[in-house]
Amino acid sequence: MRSVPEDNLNAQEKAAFAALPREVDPGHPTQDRIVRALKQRGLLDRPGSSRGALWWIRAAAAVLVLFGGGVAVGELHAERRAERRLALAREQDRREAAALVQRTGSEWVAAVAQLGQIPGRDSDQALQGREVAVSALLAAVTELHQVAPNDPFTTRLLEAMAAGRPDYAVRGIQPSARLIRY
Amino acid sequence: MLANSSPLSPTDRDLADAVVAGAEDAFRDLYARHTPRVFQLIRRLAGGERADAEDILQDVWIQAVRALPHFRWEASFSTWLTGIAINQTRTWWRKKGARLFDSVEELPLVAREAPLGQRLDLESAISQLPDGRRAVLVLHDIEGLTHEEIADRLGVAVGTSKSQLFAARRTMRAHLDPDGARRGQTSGERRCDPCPKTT
Repeated sequence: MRSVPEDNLNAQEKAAFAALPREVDPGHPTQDRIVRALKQRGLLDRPGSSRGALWWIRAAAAVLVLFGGGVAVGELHAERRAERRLALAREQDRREAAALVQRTGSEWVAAVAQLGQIPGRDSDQALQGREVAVSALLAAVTELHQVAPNDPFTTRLLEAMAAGRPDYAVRGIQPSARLIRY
Repeated sequence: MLANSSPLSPTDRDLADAVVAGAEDAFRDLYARHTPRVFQLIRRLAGGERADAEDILQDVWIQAVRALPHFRWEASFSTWLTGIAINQTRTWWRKKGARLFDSVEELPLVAREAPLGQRLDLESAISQLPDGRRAVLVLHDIEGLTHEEIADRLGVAVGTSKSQLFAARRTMRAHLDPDGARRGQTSGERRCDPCPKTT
């Protein structure tokens, strides 16, 4: 009986073997030839696989990824857009409200100033104009107090005006109902 | 090797399932993933002849696609395909009437193709080995299989695998350095360390 000896590769030989290429591509013609051979044997392109099962696997995966991504992006966009639009609307409302107060306030002051230029200060028209101006001022202060109920200046102004107009409190008329629209 | 890659890239099993359903594109993907390595192995086992290797490769894939529905995925697809490749190469050897494992002593130490004074590169030296020796050397020294695995794949005894490897390395060294081999033969220089012992 013979025993087989140990005959290990030396380092140089091991390196030479390790450096040998592990892969080589036989090329596309060989692939086509093998595909043809498989088809001839009925192993590929069987009925029902015209689109390819792999195609469906990939398509399903792609659809899932696209759908998930689309939903996520859509939600993010929608949320951001809604927030932005709401913020814009609020900002616009604030600006428009402030502009309206400024414009109408200026008009009111200009209108009151015109009262002084009307000849005959004690005429019925002049008295009526002053009454309307005071009522508008009172209504404005009342609205201002509702906007900022803790503002001490507005509170004192409202109290002083109400004290000077006993009928205002006695009649129990809500200030907002006395708003004069221009 | 891309056995499993990115989330959108199908696994070997995905591809194999699609191939079983008859999908050509899936087969081409599976082929592209595994063929370069398998083809290199087949070509080395077959002695470097490209045409022979292509014929064997075709038989490998035909058998693989036929057997895919029965593959249980207990091993990797690559390992399974390698097994088929070795089997098909053995079939090819049988068809060409090759006597795979001759007695080690029957074969000349220096191959007839290696002219005096000419050093061969390693790949050429491997290709000029006798079939059996080459098979064992390729599977052991290049593919990293154990003697037990080689014996199982080639249907030989473990001792045969070992002795063929010993002879293959000795012959290969002779191919790579024929002058040295001849000098060793004529001067009685021992080129193996240690040399075979007869018990």
